[in-house]
Amino acid sequence: MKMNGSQILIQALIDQGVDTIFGYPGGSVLNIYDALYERSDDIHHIVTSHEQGAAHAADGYARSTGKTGVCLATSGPGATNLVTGIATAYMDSIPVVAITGNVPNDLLGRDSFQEVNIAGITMPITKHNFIVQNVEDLAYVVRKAFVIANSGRKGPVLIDIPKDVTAALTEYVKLPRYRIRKLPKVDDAKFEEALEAIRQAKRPMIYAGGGVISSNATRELLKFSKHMDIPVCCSMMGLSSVPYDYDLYLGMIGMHGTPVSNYATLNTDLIIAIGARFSDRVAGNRKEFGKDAKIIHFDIDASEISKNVATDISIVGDARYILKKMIARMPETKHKEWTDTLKAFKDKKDLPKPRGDDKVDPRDLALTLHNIVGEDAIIATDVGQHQMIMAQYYQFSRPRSFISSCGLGTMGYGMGAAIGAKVANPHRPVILVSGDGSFHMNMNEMATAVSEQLPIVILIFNNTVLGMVRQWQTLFYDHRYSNTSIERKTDYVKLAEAFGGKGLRIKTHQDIEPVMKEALSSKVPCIVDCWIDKDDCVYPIIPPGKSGKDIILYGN
Amino acid sequence: MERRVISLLVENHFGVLTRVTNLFGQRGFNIDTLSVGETENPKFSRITITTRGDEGIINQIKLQLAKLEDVKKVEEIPEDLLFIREVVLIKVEVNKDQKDNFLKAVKDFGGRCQLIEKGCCVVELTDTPASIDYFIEELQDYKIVEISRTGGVAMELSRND
Repeated sequence: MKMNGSQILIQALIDQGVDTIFGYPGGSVLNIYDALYERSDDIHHIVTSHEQGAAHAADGYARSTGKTGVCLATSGPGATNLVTGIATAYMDSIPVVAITGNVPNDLLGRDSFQEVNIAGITMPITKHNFIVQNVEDLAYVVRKAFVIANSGRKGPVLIDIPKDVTAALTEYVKLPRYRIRKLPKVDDAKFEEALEAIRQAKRPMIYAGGGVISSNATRELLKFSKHMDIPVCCSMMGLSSVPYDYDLYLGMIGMHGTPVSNYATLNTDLIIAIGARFSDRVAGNRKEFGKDAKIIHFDIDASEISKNVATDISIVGDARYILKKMIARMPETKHKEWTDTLKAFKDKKDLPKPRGDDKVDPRDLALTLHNIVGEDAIIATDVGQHQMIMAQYYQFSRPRSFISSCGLGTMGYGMGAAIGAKVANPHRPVILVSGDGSFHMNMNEMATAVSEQLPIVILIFNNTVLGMVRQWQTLFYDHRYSNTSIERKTDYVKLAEAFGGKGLRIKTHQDIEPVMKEALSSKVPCIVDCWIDKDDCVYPIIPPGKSGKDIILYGN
Repeated sequence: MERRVISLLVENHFGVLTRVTNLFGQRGFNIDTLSVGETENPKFSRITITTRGDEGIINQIKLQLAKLEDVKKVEEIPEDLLFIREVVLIKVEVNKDQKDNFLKAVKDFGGRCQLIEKGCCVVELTDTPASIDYFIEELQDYKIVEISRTGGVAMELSRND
């Protein structure tokens, strides 16, 4: 049957299992939107306030489900507005397919109205991108985009389609649902070497990253850890890969990690890194990190091996497959002396406790929220102190329940991401924890949440300043608060109401629980303005570029 | 650091060279020379890159290149099996007194001369990059007006299995 490019695009997306798209109409995608009009029963299209919100929503949708997120934007500014969202997904290896319209083929390269070389712009922030110049290639390219986005280390792929291609007619040939590419075989010799190193280790630890979650290896990780009696710490991307209350869980590792995971890193004789990439937020000092330990690295991406920190033994492959294979081969082991030492350390030195006065301590916000919604909830965050507090104190237990821009650190990520997560999980509570700085970046998406009737709860940790940058000014710039005391006059309650949502306020410690409960029972998006102290800093902190030995455990 | 030669088989369509060079730029890898052209199969091009870096950097270069969708094969050609050639064109001005010595030098190196007009010619030489360096050194007595080099193209001296 002959179809035009737009109908083919939509049909090809449906054939690849897509039922939700986040996007924004415009001149170059008019034909595509026309095709969506007739297929609105099959594909739910959500119009965001800004294309950036659409890209983050596709990302949040993908993170919370493991499926591929799809976003759609017009040429020129529509396409460039996606860029931050695509880069965010790229840094955290999230499968997203971004589709952009472009000016017709015969206008390409002439600086036409709303023309931009989006393929060139997104080259370093996509796994691959396509410019589809012939309608005959379109269905094939769509399927291939899904293959690439989901194979090996996942990530975003962009498809740029000139407008004439969206109108051109051709025969439509249905292609099967995408299948991921086969991985290279695990190197047996290295596998044996790794087994031997694990057997020999007296004080082993696991450093789990986002790869554990994206390869659905959380169950195997827990089993491996229990079986071998090896404690686990997680990078921020790895949070929720083992339950918070698991007795061998040490907490987050790195710049704002727990004291005990830092202690373990300094005293271990074997680090087993799984689906993690030794980023500068984990290994602030590449030369010092794990210097006295052996390092085994399992990763699906061969180029991650020894990229940041030199490793002794590496296995390239799927985390789930490798862990299963390991469990089958290893006898049950105990490292009692080591785990007892860590437990004793943790009893002595743990994360700072909430202050316990009448003021609102952000740590109490995280703890109380968890008490109320528990593991059913999905928590999205923006970027800054509030993000770190959630990473430290919220007791994540269910994989894919923590949605946060960890690699790129995109302020303004959360609002779109929370929308994506809620669309994908309508029956689970979705809470965006944001800061007053981050929230101002993309609060326009409040309009989307209201229009789509998505009762997201938005907790704004409002300290009137750009808290994390200010914290660095406090610690490293002699209290010179250049441009971080923004003190917006925004009335968040009125703002919420103006958007058609609900607004509440938490001013004292006593407000926390009742107000949160009220917010969570709201049928419309609800903003909660939480008043916190601007001098409250996130501890512990390992200063940038330093090693775990330089950790600052508590503030003054 | 020693020169390393990397040979890439890539899809032959627009944008591929940009992807490869972008990767070098993005990650701060060096490119000493780069040459590209079609292969025996018009679907593919061959890109030959000479670069330098310690073992870790060279490994990263190879692994990152291998991740590009359009890159089909990444091979480093080891020094002992390396067959590498480069073409250089040199525009030179030579006065009457120098002429005989000049022509001898060109002949000794196996180069060829293309006269433009009296006292000015283009010399062409195909050889290893090191020999070309040496040749250029030899021509320092003459007035070199312009040099254009292709960068190396290389093959491994072994049978393809």
